[in-house]
Amino acid sequence: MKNPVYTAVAIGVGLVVLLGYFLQLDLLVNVRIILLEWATILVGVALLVGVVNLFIVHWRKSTTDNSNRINSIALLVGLTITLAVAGWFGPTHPYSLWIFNYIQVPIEASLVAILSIVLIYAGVRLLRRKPNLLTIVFIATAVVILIMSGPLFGIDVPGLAELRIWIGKVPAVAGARGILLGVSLGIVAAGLRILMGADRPYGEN
Amino acid sequence: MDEIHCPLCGKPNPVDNKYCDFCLAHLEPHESGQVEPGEKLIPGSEENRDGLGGHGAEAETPDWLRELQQSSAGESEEAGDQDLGLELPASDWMPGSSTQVSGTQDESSTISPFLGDSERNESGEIPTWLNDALIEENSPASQEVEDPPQISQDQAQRDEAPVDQKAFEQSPGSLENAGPLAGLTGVLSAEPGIIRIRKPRAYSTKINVSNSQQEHVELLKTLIEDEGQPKPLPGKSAISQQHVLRWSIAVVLLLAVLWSIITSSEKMALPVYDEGSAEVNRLINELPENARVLAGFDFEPGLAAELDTAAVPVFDHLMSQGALLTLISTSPNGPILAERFLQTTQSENGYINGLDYTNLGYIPGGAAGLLSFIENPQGTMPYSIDGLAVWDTETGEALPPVVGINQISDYEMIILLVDDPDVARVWIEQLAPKITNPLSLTSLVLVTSAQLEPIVRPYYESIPQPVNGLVVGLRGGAAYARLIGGDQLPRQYWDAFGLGTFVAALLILVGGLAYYVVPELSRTVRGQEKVE
Repeated sequence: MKNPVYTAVAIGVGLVVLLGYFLQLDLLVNVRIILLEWATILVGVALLVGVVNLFIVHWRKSTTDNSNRINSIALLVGLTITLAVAGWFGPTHPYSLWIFNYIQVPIEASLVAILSIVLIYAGVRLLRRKPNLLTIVFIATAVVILIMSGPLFGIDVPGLAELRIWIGKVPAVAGARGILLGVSLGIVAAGLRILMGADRPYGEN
Repeated sequence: MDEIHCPLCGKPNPVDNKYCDFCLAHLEPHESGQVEPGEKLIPGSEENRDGLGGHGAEAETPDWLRELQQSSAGESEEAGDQDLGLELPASDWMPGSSTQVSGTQDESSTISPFLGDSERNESGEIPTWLNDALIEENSPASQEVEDPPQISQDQAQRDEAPVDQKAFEQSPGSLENAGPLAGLTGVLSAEPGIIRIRKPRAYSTKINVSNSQQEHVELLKTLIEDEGQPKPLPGKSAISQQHVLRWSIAVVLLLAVLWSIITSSEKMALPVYDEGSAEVNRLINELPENARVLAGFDFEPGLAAELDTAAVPVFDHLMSQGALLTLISTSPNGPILAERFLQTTQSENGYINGLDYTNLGYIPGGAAGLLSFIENPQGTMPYSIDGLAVWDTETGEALPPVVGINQISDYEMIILLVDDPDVARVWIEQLAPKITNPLSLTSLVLVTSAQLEPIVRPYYESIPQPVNGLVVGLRGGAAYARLIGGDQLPRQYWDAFGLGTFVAALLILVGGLAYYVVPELSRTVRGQEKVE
């Protein structure tokens, strides 16, 4: 059975934070600020708990006879070294920046580079199946945006630059606005359900 | 009293009986005629071939049995043509009959205990072992039994009974002289005398199959054995069509980018004008000297190259105006990305940590943490990432970048470097109530990845404007660099970027058409070949 205390606390905190947007009462604002600071501290502690849990899980994996234990060992070694360097010298020390600049940034940039090749490959194979109108429109839009994002060797194709701007400002923005409106309505609905106690994503046994 | 004799067991029954009282056989005369008293039907004889006393033999005999009877009759007739002419000695179970067995049809169907032709050797002589047995049977003890006394009518009828029955009834062993049945006659004897002497029919244990059947059996056996054998999966070729295509795309793209970098031609012109970039340039130009600017670094290291290139001209411009920076992030990687950005791209500006800028670090809690910072910056982030007390307190003064900052709207400008649509939306939505306030002088500027432009542009184009300026991707950064005249970094990337995007578009166009056209052409050719 769900504990009614959880529901009451959630609804009360939600109402206080929500009313703080509309009413500039000192008491309400102060309570709201305190609650938000608590939330920030709790999330920070949760992040630390997550790091500790990650360490424990991979420690167990590395000590058992697992075929993927090498990955866990690599993670533990990387976590320990980074934690030791950043903790001892500080996160802005050149040693910490060296780890970041020469390990993390190149790895993530390589993943993005691979993503670009995969996307081009998917675009090439898109016409392999029987193409329809939407497929052709999709390919044509991608080609126009890609070509006109760059300088195109200084060649000025009449109408192409205007087409790129029109695509970026009308259809793309229209779609994005639709997405944003949908997200906003979804958030409002989810918030109202929680405030009314219809959704209780907490206190489950 | 009239009696009728059973055609099967030969025993008298009342005339009224329909069935024999002894053996329950049918007493009705068979089709060939009335059975006379004393006349019996011997099982296996012509009249009793069906084993039912001949009753309904023709009417109720199925075809397969009729054919079998006819073939049997034919064999019997052939056998009947041969007179065995064998003088057999009398046996104790068949008294007074040192008879000459003629091979008539009726008698040949009975079980004969005597030696047949097949049991003779090739010379026609009786084997020694059988001859000895015959000599013993012709001994005086046996002859005594051969001369029976005067027999009654019943005994005469029994004489005409089947041989087996007579043998059973007249066998000396039938009178039990020992055991609990001593003195009784007609007891089934365990002696071999009543055991049918006929040699059991030999059945071959081998299946008579033809060669073709044998071949089919072998084929089926092979098929079943093959099904049971694990077959190895067909090995994938190390180099498939997809591998070749992917590697070809990678190589072509890499060569195009490398060629631009190696030649360092830098011939392609930077974009002349970008509306969002021009607006940002205007806002920065309007900033007062030593303006306090909050810079949010909320992107991932993978997109650092694009965002660094777009943000470098903007920060060059800001630092040239003497802006004091406060760095913050809602991403764990953000604070160190900000430090990296200032140390690698803005080192010539000589900004000093704690004096010209301060890094407040990471705000946990996502939207809640950001709202908390917007509502109460001092309480949410009291220390910098280096552990310094940032704000004005009783123990010390505030650091220069945050002097006079009590709330978020005290900043003259907020610059957000972002690559994620959700993070951008959270920043804009939480800041909008403070920024769109008519009394607020704070402006919000976004430096974003190119992929984010459709998401953030609605905020830029709406009224009132939650987003006052927009620098999008390398193109926006290059346009901004051209505006301020400091185009070193965007200039380095611009040619490679332009050639790379052009080759990517070309690959999609040509490859897609090839993927579509080639199968269609081959299909058409195959169709024409079929028609021909």
